Amino acid sequence: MASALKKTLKAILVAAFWLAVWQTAAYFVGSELLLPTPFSVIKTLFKLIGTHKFRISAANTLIRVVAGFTLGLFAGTLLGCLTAASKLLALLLSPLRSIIKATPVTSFIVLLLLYLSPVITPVAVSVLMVIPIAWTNVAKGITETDADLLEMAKVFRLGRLKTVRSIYIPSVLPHFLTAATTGFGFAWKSCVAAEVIAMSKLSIGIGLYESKLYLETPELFAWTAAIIIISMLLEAVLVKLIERLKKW
Amino acid sequence: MVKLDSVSFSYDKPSSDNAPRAVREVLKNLSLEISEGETIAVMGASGSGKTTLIKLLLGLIKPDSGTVDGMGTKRVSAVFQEDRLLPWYSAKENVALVFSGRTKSERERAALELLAELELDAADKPIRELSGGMRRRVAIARALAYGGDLLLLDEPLKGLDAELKARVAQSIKRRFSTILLITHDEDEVKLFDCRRVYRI
Repeated sequence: MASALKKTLKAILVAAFWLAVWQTAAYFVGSELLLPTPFSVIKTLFKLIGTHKFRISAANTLIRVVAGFTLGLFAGTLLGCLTAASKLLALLLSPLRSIIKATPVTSFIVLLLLYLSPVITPVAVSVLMVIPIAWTNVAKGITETDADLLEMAKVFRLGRLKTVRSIYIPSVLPHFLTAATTGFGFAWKSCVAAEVIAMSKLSIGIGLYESKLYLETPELFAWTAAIIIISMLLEAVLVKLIERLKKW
Repeated sequence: MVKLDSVSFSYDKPSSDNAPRAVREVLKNLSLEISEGETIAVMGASGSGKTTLIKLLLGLIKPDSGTVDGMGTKRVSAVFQEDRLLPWYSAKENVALVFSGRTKSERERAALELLAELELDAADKPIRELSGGMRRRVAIARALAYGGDLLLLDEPLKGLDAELKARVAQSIKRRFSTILLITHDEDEVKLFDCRRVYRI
């Protein structure tokens, strides 16, 4: 209990330090347009949170992130399983993974906009960002599964289903969970970036874009703060879910 | 009868890229027989190929030359040199895993009985919380749970004290009549009443 209090106090002190740095910098810059004060950003943030537009935008973005993340995780896991199971598939598909990994997110956004609507593009971009992370981690988990345990399964004739359930899944799970936490961050950032470029209506991305367009710098900061807060909250939920999954 | 006739086996030894691959011969012209209902022992120094012999008998590797006969139709159980237990499962779950064709509660009850017979009362503890000797008994319980016509034991009693060794050996012998024991320990050969001892 005392350590939790100490931890909270430390976090508050660190936050207070950085707010003071920000406030000092804003004072010296002396222009709300270039660098608004923390107070004006917090005030704008609260005002923003109270609006219908913000809630709808946040919900839309959230749905896209969750959809992109889930689909990407599923597809990446499937590809990880396939390439770990077959050397031929690994040979055929590995260039695809290298290309996805090396392509800048903005290139994907612009390319996908040629074929998809501004509503779907952010989802597709998130999918593409999550796929290689899940793919690499799951394939690594499968190939690093303890060979001695697999031999044991063969000797005791556990069968394919029992071997998968009792050996492969527990071996891959830590890698999968790492992929999930890393992938979620990527899905979130790439989705918002795609919304900005695609100008997806009623989204956090378009909120950011419009604030910049109309030189509403405090609002731009407030949208960014909202993105960070939502991302941190969602990551905390994901970590809790993962902890439950680990216990199970 | 299981019969090994002039079996040889070598491992490719990893070497640097430029040098030719070195070959390490671990078994050379080994011949042995295990008849129904007999217990035999194989003794030898470290690296003499005892574990390789178990792998050959289990069909996990194939001999470079020679033949292994009589294993095709047999149900073979084993206690490996390493425990090879699933660390994410409890002792009971590890044993219950190899029972087949029963309900989960029946499998777990049977596993508990076996573990109790081997004097292990930490059946619900995860494997990672058990001592070396306890893990060994879980590995033995699993081999007994699987059953079969032949039991291959690779240093099965390591980590157990002398009295427990005797009682565990009795439990094993009650369930299996045909056993191949691999050991360093002459006392273990006596505990299992081995009819013949092969030195490799």
